[in-house]
Amino acid sequence: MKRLAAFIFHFYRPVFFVNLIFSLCAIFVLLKHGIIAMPIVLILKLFGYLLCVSYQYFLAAKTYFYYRNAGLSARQMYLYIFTFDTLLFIALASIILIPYYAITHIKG
Amino acid sequence: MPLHTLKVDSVQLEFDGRKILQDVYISCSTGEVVGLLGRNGCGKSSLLRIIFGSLSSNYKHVSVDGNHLTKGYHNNRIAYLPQHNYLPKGIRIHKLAKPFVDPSLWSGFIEHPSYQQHQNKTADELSGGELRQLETLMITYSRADFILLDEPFTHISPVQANDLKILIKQCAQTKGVIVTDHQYYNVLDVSNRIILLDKGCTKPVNNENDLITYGYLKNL
Repeated sequence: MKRLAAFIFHFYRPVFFVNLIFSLCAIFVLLKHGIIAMPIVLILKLFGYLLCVSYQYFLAAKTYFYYRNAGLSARQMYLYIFTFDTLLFIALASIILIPYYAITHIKG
Repeated sequence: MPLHTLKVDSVQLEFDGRKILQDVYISCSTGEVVGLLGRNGCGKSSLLRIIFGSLSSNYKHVSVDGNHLTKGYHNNRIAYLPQHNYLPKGIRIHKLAKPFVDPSLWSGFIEHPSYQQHQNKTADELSGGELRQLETLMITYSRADFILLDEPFTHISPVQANDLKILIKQCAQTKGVIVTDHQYYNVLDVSNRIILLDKGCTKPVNNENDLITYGYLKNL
């Protein structure tokens, strides 16, 4: 598990900030427009993933061999980092949105 | 030491209707170094990539101990040193090596001077030769049972080439190795058995004169 986590971290590292920016934008949209803006949030996140795949495919495809030689396919690596990023987004959104809505509710 | 046998058979590869590989048979067992020679563009790298599983072919049969493999790299059965650099940039070598190298071989791996010298550097801080040497080292110490080396003697100095030959022979004590390079004398030096890839077909080479007979060399 520790070994797999190391590979996921290496693969996720170059695209972490791009995904973080898209996650923060998506959270901002949720803050501004509420749950009704969910389709926009999904589109934003999907666009972030598309950008991430494009970066890896065009600029770092040679490094796929590092992961393959470790027994992991590129498809598996994408699956792992997108799952991890989605969980990170949910955690980040919960940390920001729950207190925000709670404060708004208390204020009336 | 568990003994394994890799068998590659019936590989067919076509590009734009041109047959690149059509009658291929290679086998390699633990403890063996098989040298693969052939002219430029004859399909050596393609064949290694097909065995590894990173290139699709029209047909192939790759097996280890009789078990068919769709992707050679699954479950760490086969590792492949590509012609290009493969280590991700911006990450320190020791962080890349730790999850990659076989834990049972780790103590031997960290004793290598090239690892000791460069472990705290990133791939982009190394010269072409240094990086090549380190990448080859990592492949030979990986968890795989079979190692495919595509032009490992290219971009390295004669001294490094001698070290590499020792490394390949050490590696073959516990794994099977298939090596290809245009520096045929290094391949001949390090291999137990030679196979020539010519016109898409593999031909066993019994002695160095066969290389002249098949038109690979003009003279020895």
